Order: sequence, then C-alpha cells, then structure tokens
Amino acid sequence: MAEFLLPKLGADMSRGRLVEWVKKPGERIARGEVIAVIETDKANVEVEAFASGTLERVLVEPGDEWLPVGTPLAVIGAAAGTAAAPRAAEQPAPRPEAAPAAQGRARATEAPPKLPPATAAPSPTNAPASRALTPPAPPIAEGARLRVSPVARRRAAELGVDLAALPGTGPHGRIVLADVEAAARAAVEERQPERPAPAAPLTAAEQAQEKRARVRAAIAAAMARAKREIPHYYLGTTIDLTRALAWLAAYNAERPVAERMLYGVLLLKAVAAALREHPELNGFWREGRAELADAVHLGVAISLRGGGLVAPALHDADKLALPELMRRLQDLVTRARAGSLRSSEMTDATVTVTSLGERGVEAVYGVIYPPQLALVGFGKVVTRPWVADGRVAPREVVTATLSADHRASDGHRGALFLDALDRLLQEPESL
Amino acid sequence: MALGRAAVRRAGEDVTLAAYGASVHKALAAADALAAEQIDAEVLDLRTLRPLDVGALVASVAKTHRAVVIDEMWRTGSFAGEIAAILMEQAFDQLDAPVARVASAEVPMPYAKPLEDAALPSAEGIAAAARALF
Repeated sequence: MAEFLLPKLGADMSRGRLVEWVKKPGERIARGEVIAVIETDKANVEVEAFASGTLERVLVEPGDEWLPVGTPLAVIGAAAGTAAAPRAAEQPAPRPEAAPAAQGRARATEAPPKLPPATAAPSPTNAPASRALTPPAPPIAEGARLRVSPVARRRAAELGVDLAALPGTGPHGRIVLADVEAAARAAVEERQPERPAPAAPLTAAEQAQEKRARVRAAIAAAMARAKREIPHYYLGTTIDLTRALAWLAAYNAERPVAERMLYGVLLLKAVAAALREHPELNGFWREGRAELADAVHLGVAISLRGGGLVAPALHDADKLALPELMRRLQDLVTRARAGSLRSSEMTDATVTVTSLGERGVEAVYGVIYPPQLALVGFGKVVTRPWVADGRVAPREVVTATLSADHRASDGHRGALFLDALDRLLQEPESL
Repeated sequence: MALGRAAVRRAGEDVTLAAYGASVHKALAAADALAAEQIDAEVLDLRTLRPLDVGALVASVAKTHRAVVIDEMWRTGSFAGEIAAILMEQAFDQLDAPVARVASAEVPMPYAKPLEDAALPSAEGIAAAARALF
C-alpha cells in the first residue's frame, strides 16, 4: 500500500490545489496513467501514477484549498493479481492499514534518497522555531555521517527537505520522520505567512490578477533560488545556419504544409545530440553533487498567454527523428497553452532550451531552472556579413548561448558543447 | 483459526508491539501504560510463527515506523531476532528507529516465581523498550 502524495512539480512549486480525480476509488491504475488534475501556481497539470495498483480511497476531495507539497492525497493498494491481493480479499483485515502491503511499494516522484554531504553542522540558532520545545541536537562533527532513520531519509527526498540543516530529536540526535515533516511544514508556513481570508467572491478581473500574482511568485521563488545558489557562467557563439536553413527549405518544399518543420526543431535536435557528447551539462544538482541524467529530456520554454512561462519536457529528444520531434513539440506547445501538461513533463526536464528569436532578441543569457545544470538560449536568425575563406558573404546566423552551473562543469566544457552544437548544425541531414 | 494470519489486538499509530502467546497480554498491558504517556501502541498478535504473517508485520510498521518484538525465548537466537531481520529486509524504508527486542534473560529458567517473573519479558520492560525508540 502506498500513499499518493501531492508531488513537487518543479522547483518553484510549494503547494497545489486538487482540481479533479480522474480515477475513482476501486479503479485499477497502471504506472504512468493520469490519476488526478492538480492546479499549481502556474498551470493545471495531469498527475501520473508512480506505481501500479488500485486506487483504494481518496483522502482529499477536489476543492479550493491549497495543500502543501507532500500532502497525502490517496491510498494506492497493491496491484490486483499479486500475491497479497487475493488474501486481502478473502479475509478482511482488522483495519485497512493492516492489509498486507509488501507489493504496494511507494516510488518517490523524486530521485531515490542520496546521502547528503555531512558537512554543514546545524547550529541551534538556525533551528526552526517550531522545534524550540525539544532540546537541540548535539552538533554533528565535520565529516561525520548524519544519523537519519530510513523512513526520514526517504520522506526527506520526497519532500525535498535538506537533511544537513535539520536538528534531530530522536535517540542519539537521530533525525526521525517527525523532524522531516516538521521542517517541511515550517518551510510551507514560511512561504505562506498567512492564509488568504475568505473574502467576497472575486470578480473575473481580480481572479486573473490574483492568478498572475501567483505565477509571478512561483517564478520569483525559482529564479531567486537559481541566482542565489547557482554560480552561473555564460558563453555565446554565433552559428552559421545557412546550410541548415537551405536543407530545411528543400525538405519542406517536398512536403505538404502539415508536415513541414520549423527550424527550431533542428536547433532542439542539435542541442540534444550535443548534450549526448557533453553529458556534464545534462542533469541535476542535488545535495551537493551533480547527478548526470541518462536520458536527454529537453525542457522547452513556452510563454503563457496570461504571462509567465513553463518549460515542460520533450522526452528523449536525442532519440527522436526530426518529424516526430516536430509533432511532439507542436503537441507540447498546444497543451502548455491549454493548461493540460502531464506531471512527468513538469518534472523530468534535464536541461532547458529557450528562444526569444521570434521577439527580435539577438542573444539570450538565461537563468538556470533549478536543479538543472544548464540552459541553452537562441536568439533571432539574422542575415549578417560573414567572412569565409577570406571573402565576405551574407549568411544566415544565430547566436547560441549557454548558461551553465560552474559547480558541475567548467567553461572549457561549455565551449566544447557550443562547438559541438555548431558542428552538428552544419550537417543538418545527419540530425 | 486461519494459520499465518496475525491479529491486531489493539490498533495504534506510534509503535508496533509484536508478540505471541502469553507475551501478547504483557504487550497489551504495556500498551496501556504507554497510552498514559501519549504513546499510541499497536499490539500485533502473531498467533502462528510458521507460517508467519509477514504482510501484517510490514503493514503495521509501515503505519507506526517503530517496532518492539517480544519473545519468551532467550534473546540470542530467539525468534524475535528473525522478525527483526525480516523487518529490516522488507520494511527498511519504513523504519524510524532500530527494531527493539524484549526477550528472556539468558539463564536456565528459575523455579522460584519471583525469579521466573524477573527472567521473562515484563510489561514494564516492553514499555521501557518502546519508550527508548522515541
């Protein structure tokens, strides 16, 4: 049996509102199926089940209440057909919680728990106020292993709580489940100092304004964290796109309008292929170290009509053929603007790609979306005088930029990445 | 009675007291004592050891995150050790504290009643073992 918790769909999400249960109690659920629709500060997201099983009961009904990340929403039972299920059926357990549950293994939506670096010694002064009644934990010596109970470690990974900064209140100063949950609650309360008073019904204009304010607050939290924690370095290079655009024009000329590709797809594919060659830029920074991702999931920055932006993931962009990538991109943009993204799309992106070329900008030096390691930006495609073989000729060029986390990679590596991007875009037919 | 089916004799949220035989009554007494201290203990009567109701043990610990296993055998080589090992193997990520064992003193069982009581697990000993987990 596993609790289905309100997932954290991106670094800027601290709370969510349950819009709708897509599955009803008693229904079978396969891993990856949409189970509920959650409203975040930015968008409505279709949340996928992280484990197969049966939706046993829902703990929260759809409503207007904002729930902190990590709130249990439902109980998912062991998948029918496993050894535990028939036994549970033939003889009712004394309490629902006591049913055999070995198969209902919860899989956290975040990465599996990793040992945090045991360097930061928590001082009693920075302990949350809510823990004032319990004695402060003995300071942990530099380099000592943190004492954390297994369930506390797992829950901290689920809730995104930093164990190194927590006081432990268990025996021997061990960090226990209650400490992690108290810290998560304190963090949520800190972010929402007061609950909005139930006022008179808002007008449509006020609601739109409030929605915009929430979108800005969510973006503000993520971007402030990025600039506070991530030592960015920025590189830029101008790439000659003449060959790529000529190839694309020839490709599109042979096809009906519906199958034509945008040059942006070439850029995305080239970024994905270049990341394969330079994996140091593809992944996440978690608990003091870089976790490189095996797959390349490009987060595509999409501006929303009401303001703000989202960067949902194009999964396995490096493995998709160009026409398929084009279809997926169109689908993603349509759904992002309609507000029907999947939870995996909100959390899986391993690197973000942004383009402001359509707005006439020549170069974008973006802010990395934590916990990602890099962001690739493209400006406007312009015709410029270009010197090749000692002669000046007009060429179509674009400025590609890289913002990268200096903790995970160095400028040299970033330069090699941009060089690979340039090289790949000179051979569009092999993309 | 179904073999291999444990019974929850008292439902609780904070710690699982797993026992069998006469120890179940001591575990219930310990749970009463713990309730006075705001520790809500669940008493699981294992009923049969082989087959053992591993599912009920794991489900209970998944709820309480702490376990005390009570066994009248000598501590070394006792069945309590087997249960502790199973919980470690199958419920590791649910544990908030090490699994505690309460077993008999490792002496030949004394004949005199006061000494026999002192050698066997007691309600006070079970409560103390549970308290030490918090």
